[in-house]
Amino acid sequence: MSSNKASPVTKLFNACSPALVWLLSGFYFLVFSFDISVPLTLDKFDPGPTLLPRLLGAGLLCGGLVQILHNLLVAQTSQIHPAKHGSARLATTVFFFILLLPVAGFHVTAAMFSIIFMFLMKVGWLRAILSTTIIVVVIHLIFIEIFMIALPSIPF
Amino acid sequence: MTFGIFVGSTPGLTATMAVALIIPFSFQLEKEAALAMVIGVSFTAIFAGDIPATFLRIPGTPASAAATLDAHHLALKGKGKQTLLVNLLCSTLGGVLGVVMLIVLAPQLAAFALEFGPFEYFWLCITGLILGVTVSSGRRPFVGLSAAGLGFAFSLVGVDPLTNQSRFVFNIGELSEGLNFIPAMIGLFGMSEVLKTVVGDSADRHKTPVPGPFRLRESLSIILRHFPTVVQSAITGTAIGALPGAGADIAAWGAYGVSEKTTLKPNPPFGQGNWKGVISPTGANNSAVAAAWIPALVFGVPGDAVTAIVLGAFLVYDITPGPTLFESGNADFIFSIALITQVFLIPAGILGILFFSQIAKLPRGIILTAVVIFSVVGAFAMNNSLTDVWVMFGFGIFGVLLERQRVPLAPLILGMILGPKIEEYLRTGLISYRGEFSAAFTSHISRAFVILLAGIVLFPLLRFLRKKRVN
Repeated sequence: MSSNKASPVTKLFNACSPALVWLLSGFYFLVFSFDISVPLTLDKFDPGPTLLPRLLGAGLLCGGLVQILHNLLVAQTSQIHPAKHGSARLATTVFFFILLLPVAGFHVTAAMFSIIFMFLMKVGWLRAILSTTIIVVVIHLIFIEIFMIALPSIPF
Repeated sequence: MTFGIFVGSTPGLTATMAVALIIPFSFQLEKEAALAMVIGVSFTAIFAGDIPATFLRIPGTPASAAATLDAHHLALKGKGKQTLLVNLLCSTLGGVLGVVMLIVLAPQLAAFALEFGPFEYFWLCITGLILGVTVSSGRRPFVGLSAAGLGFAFSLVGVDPLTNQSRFVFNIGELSEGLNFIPAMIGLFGMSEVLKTVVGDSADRHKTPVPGPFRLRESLSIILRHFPTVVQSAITGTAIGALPGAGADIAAWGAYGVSEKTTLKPNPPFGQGNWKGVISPTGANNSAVAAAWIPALVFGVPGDAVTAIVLGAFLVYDITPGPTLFESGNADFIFSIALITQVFLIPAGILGILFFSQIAKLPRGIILTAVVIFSVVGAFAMNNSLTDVWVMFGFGIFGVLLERQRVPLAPLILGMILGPKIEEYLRTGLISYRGEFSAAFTSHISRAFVILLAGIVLFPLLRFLRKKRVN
């Protein structure tokens, strides 16, 4: 859709959407900076823990507003395309991988995730199983055996 | 050194971690062997961080983040091994120059470093941040600046180090330690790249990094052609590395910025596979590692986290840092080990490159799956914390959203790294000078930084206006 033929509402939406990140984060840091308590013992020359969150919050808000103005005036908008199916599916797989880590332990979760992820990436079954075994064994050797890092294990 | 290559090239395991992990083993060795082991690991781990940055666009260590810009582009063009060979040789050259400067200039540079007060450090960090923003944002410096501001704001989450007050924690215990920038970096660069590549958002979705041949002759001619850049980066790296607390990551970005600003017509542009973009950060980060030893050896003040850990181990080795170190002959021993390490870095580095280039030949589906699992494990391994894994995942999704809007990711991570330092130096400076911000402009060093900063901001603006007038 060309931005010249777009309705004013669409134009405004297209101008605002890329600036949402800055506006929302600016609003968040600015508003919640008022929740930060200032200690009574604060050095009288120390601007305190609230100065920079407020400055940055205000700066991000201004940045977002300037970007909206710029997008409206120059009419160059970078529209956000809806997320594709693939991205949601893969992100969900990673989400469940992390979610199940403390429940089923690293070895089981990583093996399940690896096979499913490779299947989604159209890797053959045999290759997927072989690669999964190698990845899990290599990570076990590096992190658990050599570096002695306690990766999540099955809790029972 | 092989251990250093191994740890440095594993995303999530930093050079600091490599040294921390090797020190318990070193206690079982003779003093000389233990020192050689620890120094060897610190140098190799910094280079090794560039290997996954080149092949996978995941920096192995924070000092390798600047290397992802050009090196990964070159790997996509089938020059993976050649890029890493140039990287390795320049890293060695940078390291040798850094060690030579350490030997020759140690006392003078250390005295200069001690002139830095909180405001001087404040300006140094601001200059590093702005330089990083202008370099990595291309034609959208304003968006880059916003990204750096957002990264800075993220870095404020947690307990305020000066007053111990919680900020943006909302009674979530895990957040009180703040958002660690290493899981964030793994998420932004690693996880987001996987999601982007898979769904086809990435312009390079059909391209996979190709190791290609080493092309030794061509690589040597590239280094010879850009030798001034190697020297310039080594000097920048040494100057920044000698400052306590500055570190190899700021040195890498600083050298990259200096290189970009001093190149009149870069072809190809920086960030799109320019050799200077590969040479400058790698030359600087290794020389910064050497330079970090200057204040450590002369005054016992650690230059970075790695030297801080090693200084602690020195006590076990019965070595006392300070002026007596030079009289006892221990300093000469340390210098010679640092030089020999640079020579052995080449075979150890080549082994690492050969190993990684075999991995890069695997089908894309297998590599991407391994990247996700290593990202999760790497994020977890930092503090044995699942919160860090969620932070990595969150930043991965956030990275995809930002890149869809063509927001550069490097300034965001730079803001997270430098943010806490900027805040600490600013507030400590204000407390020391009784609230007078004008004191930030009184010393020669501060003024020099302000002038440099003005130049960085105004020079591109004037160039843009002149171009407009000519057109």
